[in-house]
Amino acid sequence: MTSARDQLDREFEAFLAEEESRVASLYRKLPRPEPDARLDAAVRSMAHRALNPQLVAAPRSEPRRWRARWLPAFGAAAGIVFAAGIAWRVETARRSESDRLSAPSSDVISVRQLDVPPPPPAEPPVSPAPPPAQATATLQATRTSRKAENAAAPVPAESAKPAAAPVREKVTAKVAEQEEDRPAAAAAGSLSKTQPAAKPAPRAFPVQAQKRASEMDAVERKQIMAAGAWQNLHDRDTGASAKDGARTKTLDDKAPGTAAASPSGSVAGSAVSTPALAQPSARREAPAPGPAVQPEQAPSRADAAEERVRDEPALSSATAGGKIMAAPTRSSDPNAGLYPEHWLANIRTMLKENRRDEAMRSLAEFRKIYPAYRLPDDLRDLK
Amino acid sequence: MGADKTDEELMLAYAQGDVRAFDALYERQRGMLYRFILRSVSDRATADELYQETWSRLIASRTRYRVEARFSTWLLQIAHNLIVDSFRRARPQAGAEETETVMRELDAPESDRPEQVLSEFEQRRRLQVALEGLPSEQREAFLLRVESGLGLEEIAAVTGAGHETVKSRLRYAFAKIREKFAE
Repeated sequence: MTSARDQLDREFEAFLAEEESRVASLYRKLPRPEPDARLDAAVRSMAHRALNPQLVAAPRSEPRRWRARWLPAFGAAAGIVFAAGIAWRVETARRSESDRLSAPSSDVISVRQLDVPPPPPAEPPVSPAPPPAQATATLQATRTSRKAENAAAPVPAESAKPAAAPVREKVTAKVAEQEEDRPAAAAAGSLSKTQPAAKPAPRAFPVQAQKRASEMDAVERKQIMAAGAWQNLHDRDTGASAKDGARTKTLDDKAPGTAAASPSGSVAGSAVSTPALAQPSARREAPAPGPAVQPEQAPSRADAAEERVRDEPALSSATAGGKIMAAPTRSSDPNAGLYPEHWLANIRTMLKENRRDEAMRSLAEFRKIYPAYRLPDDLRDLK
Repeated sequence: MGADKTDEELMLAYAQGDVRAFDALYERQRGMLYRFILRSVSDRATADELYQETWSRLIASRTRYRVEARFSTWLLQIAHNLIVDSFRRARPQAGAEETETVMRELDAPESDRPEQVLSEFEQRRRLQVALEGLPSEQREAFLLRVESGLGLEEIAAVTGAGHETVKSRLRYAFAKIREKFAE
């Protein structure tokens, strides 16, 4: 044990004295790894770069400088493009809005005849005979509007259909704003002119109905007017005139100067304005074809004239979205000209005011005119 | 260039801006430094990283170099500090328990069997294994002695330990390696 320790001490002392020991000689026989070339190059590069920073660092800093120079430029360009895109979008939206607002702001249908020369004066249209009680006043009012139409668009009624004649029409309609601006008294005045002996002035249209009508989308109005107005004008000219037949002449004699008395003040240039067009648009949402007027409910001559003027279905339409179709309002009920909702509200008012009989009559009339309308619960079971 | 100059003179020349002096100095020290680091950490990637970092620090502090000791001592001192930091990051340093284990092994009676004559390859392999099994302080002292040829004072300067501490570490390292050959 001791000898072994002594031997270790001796060998260790030789190791420290740098004498050739067994361990040292063995260590020198171990593999002698060295750094690879990449490592040598990296270290030498570091040393050289430390003395000459610009020589070695220059290639590296070049792309950085390029990026530093171009990044702000790219950023500015991108910002400009972005801003221009937004401005373009805003301008486009504003222009379309202004176009919509600055379109011919009259509730008239402008018809421009391009190819067809004016036809000879319209021969008396042949219309089916209306109920006798209505005939005179109805035709009086009808003639008023027809004259205005003929003066503005002297195209035969049949040729008004685009498919029937080679006439190109441009129909522009802008009614919402005009309806807002036109006072109800003007309509009443024009009506009173056409029917001097008529009953009290026509009802001013409910403000709410006017407001709702004015909110109607302009595009929808255009479509409605383009589709409905022409169809109704045509139907009226062909159908109603045929019924009227020979009575037309005498009626013409009874209504001298109706063209002047008609609200043709709104006619400008080639524009056509009918009394019906002067009515609030809510009325125009009534579809043209509707249930026939009951003979026993035929109003008096004066009433008929008023109703005829009021019900001129020049702009009949159906409300969008599958709403209840407004029915023709040839009815003696004064509420017949209202929206169904307003009519029902009036019926409720009658009930509240203990005018039950009147309310029942009005409700019955409502049911006739709006058979498909789903009555509210409080009125459905009313007996 | 620089064959007739000492390491210290070359380092001073590099500090003055002589790049070729650094190349000569690097050529002299690269193998010794790399092996010292590689056998201290036993990991090639770590050794490469520490090797490059050692030279990087040397280059960065070139202007502060003063000839107060051998250049290799200064270089190895930088490497030693990096190795110690690497050990601290990697695993806990060998403590008293590990040292005590080595002491018990040294005190144990040696095998009564006669030393087998081993092939040189086997002896190198055993030396390698023995080096890897040494505590880091002992291994580093042994390497500084055998690989770098430093004396006790220089090893003490590099490692920051006392003279007797370095001697003790070397003795333990030597004894363990010798025992490996005796197995």
